[in-house]
Amino acid sequence: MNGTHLHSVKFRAMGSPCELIIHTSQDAGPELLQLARDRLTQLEQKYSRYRPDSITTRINAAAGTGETVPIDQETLGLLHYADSLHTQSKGLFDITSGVLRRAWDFRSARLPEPKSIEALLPSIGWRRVTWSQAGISLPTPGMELDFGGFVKEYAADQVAQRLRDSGVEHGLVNLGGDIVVIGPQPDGQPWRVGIRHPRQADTALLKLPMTHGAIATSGDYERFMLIDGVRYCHLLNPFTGFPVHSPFASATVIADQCLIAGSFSSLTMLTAETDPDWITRVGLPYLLIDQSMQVLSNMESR
Amino acid sequence: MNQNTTALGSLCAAAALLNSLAGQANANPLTQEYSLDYLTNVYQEGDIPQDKLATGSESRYTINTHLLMGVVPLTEDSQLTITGLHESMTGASPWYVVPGDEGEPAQVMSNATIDEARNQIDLDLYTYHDRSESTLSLSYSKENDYDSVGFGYSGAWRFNNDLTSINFGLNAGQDNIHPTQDDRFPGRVRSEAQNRLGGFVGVSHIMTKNRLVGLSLGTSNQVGYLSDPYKQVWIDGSVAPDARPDRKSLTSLSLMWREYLPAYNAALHTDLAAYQDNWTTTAASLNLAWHQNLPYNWQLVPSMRVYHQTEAAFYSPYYETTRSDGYYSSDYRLSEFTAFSGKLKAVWNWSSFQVKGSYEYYGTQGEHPGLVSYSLYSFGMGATF
Amino acid sequence: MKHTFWLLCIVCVLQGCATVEPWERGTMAREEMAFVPDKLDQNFRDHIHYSKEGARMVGAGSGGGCGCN
Repeated sequence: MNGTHLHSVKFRAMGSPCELIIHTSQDAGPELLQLARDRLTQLEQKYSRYRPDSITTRINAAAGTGETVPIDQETLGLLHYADSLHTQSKGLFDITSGVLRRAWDFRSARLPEPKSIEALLPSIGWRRVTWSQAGISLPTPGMELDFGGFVKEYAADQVAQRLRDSGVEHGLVNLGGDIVVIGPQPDGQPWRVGIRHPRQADTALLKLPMTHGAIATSGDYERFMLIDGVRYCHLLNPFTGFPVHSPFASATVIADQCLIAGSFSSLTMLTAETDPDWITRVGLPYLLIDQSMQVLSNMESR
Repeated sequence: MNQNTTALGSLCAAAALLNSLAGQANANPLTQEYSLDYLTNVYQEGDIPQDKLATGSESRYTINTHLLMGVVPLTEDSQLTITGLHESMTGASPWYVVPGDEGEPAQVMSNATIDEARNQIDLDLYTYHDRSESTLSLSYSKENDYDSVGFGYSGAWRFNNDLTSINFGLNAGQDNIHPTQDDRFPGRVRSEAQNRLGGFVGVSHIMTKNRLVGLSLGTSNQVGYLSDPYKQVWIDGSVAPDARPDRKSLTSLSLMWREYLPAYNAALHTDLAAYQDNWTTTAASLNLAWHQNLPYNWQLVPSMRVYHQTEAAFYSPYYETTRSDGYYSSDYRLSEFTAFSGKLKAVWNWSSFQVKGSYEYYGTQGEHPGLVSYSLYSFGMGATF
Repeated sequence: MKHTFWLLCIVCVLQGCATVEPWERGTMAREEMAFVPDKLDQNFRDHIHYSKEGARMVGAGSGGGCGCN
């Protein structure tokens, strides 16, 4: 493939640093990158909790009113996916658990009052949500949906798909560490995807070669606070309202789709407190880093 | 143990469903763009060789064609395509065949240079739905001695996650012929008509991410005046009008194979077709085209075609005796022959603008002295906006 | 919702391993992978063929005109 040029762009989207790298013809590059970013912007606008015109905001605003908010096919697909996640995680992954954010301020370096958490728990419960093709209705005021747990991974798949549809055969989509690889590099070499050191920001503990598929990592370092030597991270148990204490500092999973990789890395962290071997029975390539920075993986040493 | 493999299966299924729903949400089957395309063709038939010509002009038809096609989006899921055609023809045409000194057939050509024009307009209304699409077509063509109207409906129904589609269609038409009279041929018909009614069913399937295959079966019935009013036949020394049965039933089967070859950045098109009618003509054709993408937005498309047909039951280049059924035709179209053609096309895209040019040569082999060969030069350009 | 899910499962089984996922269908969108990439050119060629040859393949469309000479 002669005549391909490297085009890349770095920007912030969905609250994370993002990067798109593609190899394509000189002329097509900028247009393709824009096409990819357009899709990302579209998804961000559609599902952001912070935008007054997003579907998420509309659904949350109607909570407890009895109103059924109509949804499109894509949102229906996301809800169905969230439902599957809830079932498979036995309720540990719950897209209504975002309300706990009101009690947990990880920048405050202070544990929340148990009362304030108890007050929020009745607002959590995906099973109480009524949803169908016709729309969705949150039963009680104050209840909230948050697609943040997987929409970034889904967006990475969608952006990569748009690039593939446009004929891109060599590229990489990185949305804040949720990575999709579109074919090898033009010279046939794999991309080398860094796995962050859980305790040293901006340092790669190791690098994994990838020619296709997606990789996602969930770690206890994303948002956390240390109080009396105990780490409280953003991965909250929806039944207790408190952070899970995972034996792993981070869990990385590889799959064909970023959505799958991301879901299994999150579920690994959420389930590890009670079932640290959970991921070993899934059948996907994983790489775990435990609290003593030891690597556990089912991938051949690279 | 089972629990977690279920987790993977369940989430993969949910993700697959999500992707198909998102695909529908983002499907932009209609680009919602206006487009305008112009194509001009110069069609030039080769001279008839001296040794095959009995009398008349040796030079044959030249046709200049101008085609203009506009696509107008009407709503989010429908569009109208309007195609206009104007062509002017000039040249001489084959009349009938006589036996030469040693019984070899020789062509009698018209002398006069014929100057004619034909205009045609086509309207296609295309609508796209979640699981199906349909096209309504209307066509009208007019020459000084011939006019034709056609109506068509075709539909497609997609299923199996949009991997498979069933296609079907119906078409009907009527042609009216009112030939120019000529004192030399007093028996020529004055006003005749023919009707046709046909239909097809087909299936197309995305087999792999690089392979698309389609199969189509069609049938058509033509009823009415199916002869050529300007053609004559030689029967034992005298000349009589071309006379064919007033009913023709035909069946055709086509296989279309599209294979994308990533290693070459090219696509190979293979088209096979078989045909049979109740005049006992059977035919088969093979068309191969290689669509090669090249740097700087060029595309080069070499293609070749082979076609063979057998003769109609009542066909003969000339007749030594009369036939009991009264059917006669010495039209080369009803003779047994093989045709070969080769074509090279170049396409250049620049932004939303396209320029293309092609050359094709078509040659024939068979016993009829009037078999045609032609060169076709094409130039076209188009834009979307 | 359940129906869609089961339909998806049945379709998956019917297709066996040969499934081409929606996100793998980029190639199919290429112009040169269409059955007829250049409709204007193809229709004109079909018209020549059926006016100079005995066979007439039945497909979509409704075109007319004599083409006889």
